[in-house]
Amino acid sequence: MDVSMLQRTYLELLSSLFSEFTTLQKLQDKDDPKFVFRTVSLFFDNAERLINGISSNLNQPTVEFNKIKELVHQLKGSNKFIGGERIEDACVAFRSYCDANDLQGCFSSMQQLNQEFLNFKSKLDTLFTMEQQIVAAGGSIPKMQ
Amino acid sequence: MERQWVPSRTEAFPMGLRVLVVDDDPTWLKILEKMLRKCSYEVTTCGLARVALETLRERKNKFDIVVSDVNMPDMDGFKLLEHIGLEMDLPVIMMSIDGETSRVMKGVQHGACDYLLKPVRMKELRNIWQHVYRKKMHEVKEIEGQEFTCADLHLIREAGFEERGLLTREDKKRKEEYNDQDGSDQSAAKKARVVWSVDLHQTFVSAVNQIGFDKVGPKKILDLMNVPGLTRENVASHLQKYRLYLSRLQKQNEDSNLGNNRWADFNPKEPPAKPDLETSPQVEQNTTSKPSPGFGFIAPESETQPIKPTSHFEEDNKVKRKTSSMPPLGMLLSFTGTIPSAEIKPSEPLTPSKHPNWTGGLPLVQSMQCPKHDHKRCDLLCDYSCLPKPDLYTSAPPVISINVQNETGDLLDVKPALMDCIKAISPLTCTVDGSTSGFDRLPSIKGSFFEQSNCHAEPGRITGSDLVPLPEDLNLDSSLQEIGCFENVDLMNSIDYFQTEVESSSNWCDGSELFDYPLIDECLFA
Repeated sequence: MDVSMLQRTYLELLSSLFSEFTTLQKLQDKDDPKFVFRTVSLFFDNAERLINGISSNLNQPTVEFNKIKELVHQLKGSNKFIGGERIEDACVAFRSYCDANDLQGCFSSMQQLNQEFLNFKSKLDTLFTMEQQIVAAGGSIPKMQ
Repeated sequence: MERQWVPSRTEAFPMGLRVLVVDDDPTWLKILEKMLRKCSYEVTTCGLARVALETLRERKNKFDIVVSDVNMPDMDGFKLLEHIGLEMDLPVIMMSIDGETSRVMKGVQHGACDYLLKPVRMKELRNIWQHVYRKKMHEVKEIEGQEFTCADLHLIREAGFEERGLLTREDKKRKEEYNDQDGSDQSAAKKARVVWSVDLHQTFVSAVNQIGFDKVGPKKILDLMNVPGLTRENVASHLQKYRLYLSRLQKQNEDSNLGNNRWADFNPKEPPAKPDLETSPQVEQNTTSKPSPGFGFIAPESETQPIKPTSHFEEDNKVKRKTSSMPPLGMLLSFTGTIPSAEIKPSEPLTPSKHPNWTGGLPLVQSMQCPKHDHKRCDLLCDYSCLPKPDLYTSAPPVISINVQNETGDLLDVKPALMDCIKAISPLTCTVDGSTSGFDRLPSIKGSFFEQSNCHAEPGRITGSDLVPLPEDLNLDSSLQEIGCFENVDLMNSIDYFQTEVESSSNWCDGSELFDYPLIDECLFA
């Protein structure tokens, strides 16, 4: 595949993420080339834990919306840097359902959140693969300005 | 004549500024650490507020500034802030996603030097040295008991300007010259800055209690404390802080007593048998053991209860603290009467060896035990300082000879806590033993990343979790947290780690392997 094509596509993908993601990339340097990858892994790890927590709370006989709200808040906070804007929106919607004590709404939010996460993850996967491909094709990974 | 108004590392200032970062979110911890390192600061990270306090107490003069998140499960960020202000008198910067004015106000009221909004920018972190500088200058003023002069004010103002870099050499020289002018007060001024250690604070509090909180005055306290080298000014400023702190507590207590029903909330909901209170409230990786199609499956056994135990702990503390400021014993007893269930549970397992979750357990235990001991010590610091200090932070054998008995096939069925335990204790081995087998089996993200994130710490740095005996169904959340805790050193260590990363990444997309990473080369992200 044409390197410049790859690089262009890569940049497009990158720009669709939060601008903070590029800040994250800037933190990475030669001494620590895997920083972004590790941070992202950490993020997904943490996110999974939170989502599990939310899920289990939702499935309690008596749902404690405050707890769920807290978890969603944490998730939202965690997400601030990694950069899933849609995840953020899903979190915000989730929180308002919690405030309204709307169980149905929460469940649908939960679904959406799940979906957004999977989407986001595959996006990042693509990103990382593309980096690999670009490098393999002899190019350098383009940085956002 | 050279005056030590800042630590002797003035020349390197602000490079090498020693920062302690406290945040329960591991992602943020990592990012902040990286950013601060880029600012040439010396960073220590901590995932638990309680552990952070312990660290600060142990390594008293080893930090210049603390950066802490507001929302933490084990302790409210504001409480941590107050503790640090009272005990160590270090500048503290708060961070939060929430930028609401009321929160910011609360931060400032509790003594925060600054309040940053997440996502935090590098620029903001770069400037945190100014708070250290400013505080030092204030302290010099305190010790000397002098009024601010125009020169001082000018310097302080300069230090406060956001976008400016270091003060110029000229400014520093000017400051020194000014200080040198106070010929007569040489002896007084050469005094080192007073660090309000735990013991010193204890002495202070007992003096206050002895005098009677209403009749207290700096001179009286000073005389009673009888600490050589302590000045009236030191005591006065500390008293002021203490008063503020107590009044705030009282206000909070009144709020809670008035009808927030927090007691009612927390007591009945506590599952009786569960040693929740002893464990870290943060249930880190204690999630499902079932294979999953992705996120969002139910965790059958574990409940994440990040909020509850915290608040409960807080409540206890509030009780104790409040009572310490009044004729204590009677009040204490009456208060303990109101929290019977909480009292019994945590006080049972006292030995660290049995219940390794000392971070969660011991402070609580201690607060329960207060009535039995000298009540004078049952003030806010009783929780921490009276603790029998188990040798948690000395290096224990990093890898415990635990046989990972489980067949690979059983990895999923093993109780999460147990798995956590195994993984927690043998960080290196987990990369080799647990992970390779685990990856083949686990379609979900769970196991793979779990091991990654828990293998961050170097073996020698593992804290108390090393001492954990295996068999019981332990909730090792706090120990897991601690693993990620003291990441003082660059994490780019084990090759194994990266190998597991590689293999795990293919598990990201649950089953449907979109990408095959044969080996993520170092050059990938270069």
